Amino acid sequence: MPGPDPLIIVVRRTGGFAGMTREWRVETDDETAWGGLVESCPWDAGGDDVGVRDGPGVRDGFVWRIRITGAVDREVEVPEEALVGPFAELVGRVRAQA
Amino acid sequence: MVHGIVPPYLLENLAGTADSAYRHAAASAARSLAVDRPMRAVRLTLSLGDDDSLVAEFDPSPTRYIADAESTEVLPGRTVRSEGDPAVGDLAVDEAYDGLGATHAMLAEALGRDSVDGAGLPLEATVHFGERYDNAFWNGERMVFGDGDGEVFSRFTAAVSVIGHELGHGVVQYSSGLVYRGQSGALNESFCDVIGALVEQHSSGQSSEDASWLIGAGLFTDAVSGRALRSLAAPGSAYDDEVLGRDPQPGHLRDYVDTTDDNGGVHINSGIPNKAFHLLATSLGGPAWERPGRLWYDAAVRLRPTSDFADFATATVAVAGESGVKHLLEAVRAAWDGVGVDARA
Repeated sequence: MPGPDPLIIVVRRTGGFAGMTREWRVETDDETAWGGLVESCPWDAGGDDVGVRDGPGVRDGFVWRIRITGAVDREVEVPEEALVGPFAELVGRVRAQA
Repeated sequence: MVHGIVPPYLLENLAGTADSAYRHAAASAARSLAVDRPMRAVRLTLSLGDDDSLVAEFDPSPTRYIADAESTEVLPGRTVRSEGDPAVGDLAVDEAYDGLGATHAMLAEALGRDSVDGAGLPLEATVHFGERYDNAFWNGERMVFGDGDGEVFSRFTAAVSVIGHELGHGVVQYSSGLVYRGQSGALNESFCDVIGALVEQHSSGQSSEDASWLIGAGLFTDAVSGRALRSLAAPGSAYDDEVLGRDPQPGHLRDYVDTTDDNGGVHINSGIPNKAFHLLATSLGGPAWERPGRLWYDAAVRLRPTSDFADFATATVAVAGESGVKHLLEAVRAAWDGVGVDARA
């Protein structure tokens, strides 16, 4: 009998002064280790609009795109200055384990 | 910093008055004096005119503050060098201080602009931001520089073109306010690369023919196959590395990259207006910070937040037309033609 779908978490960093793209990826079926952290992230707190920068603000900052597929389906773009709390923890853990 | 028009001696008299009728004014004057310090620096030149009259000339000079984040990501950090202080011996601190000075000098001497806001705003930078941090950015108020990871990138203060670029973001913020997405974002980035290149060329006295036209030369470690992060002369040729891949910049509108990454490719498509400036500067020859730089700047400050490539081309054509110099107008049209951008009729 097949088990539950694994979680595939892809963290993509673009922009920054150098404009170079880097990507980190974790595939896991450890629901207890990742599920709680994934669900604690404010996925709907701004959606794609979080990434739009109209007013004066950060220039040359990194842009982070976090995409989760598999057991759950989530995607968000977060400018670096908004990468705090659970999103920052998630990105840190993916980078550390990728 | 608050720019007062009330002379400090009047404020001091007011602040010191014991007359109870002026109680509020005295307190207000005392506050204003506290806010205004430290005073803005100016360079004063005194000379005698033809009729033996005394001529006093004020030149803008920078007011710099460099702070050290001490490997944290907390801004602004601890101020370690202020205007007029001697070198402290920390390479990043002293490079930032010198780079801010070189940028201020180019803006003032070549473009006639007193600091990023045109009104003597102090220039502030933070170095040693974060741990092995691979970036430099402008946060709306100050420049912030990481030390690099030591494997791909060394410290971001190593190239004066990077320091000039970050201050360029301040100039855009206080002038056109180009939105940081898509074509307006790529114009914002390109303007900053042009400023960065001009600062490097102005400070080393290089003409268009002798300049490298590179942004961020010396930032890569020896492990990387690359000369710099970007090339205005040949977008797409700055690096080609097994691990990092190849410089993705286009140098012509037909190769414009549509992407959701990087705020819509602002650091990628900037190659197109970058190449247009290089074409203009090299066709005119001589120091790029003089006629071509001044024309580019005069056109850029006319832009609106949502201006696109064609709007900017149109503005440069308008500035060239107003100059009444026929070959300048022809050179500007040829430069945009070279990257496939048409000025609006």
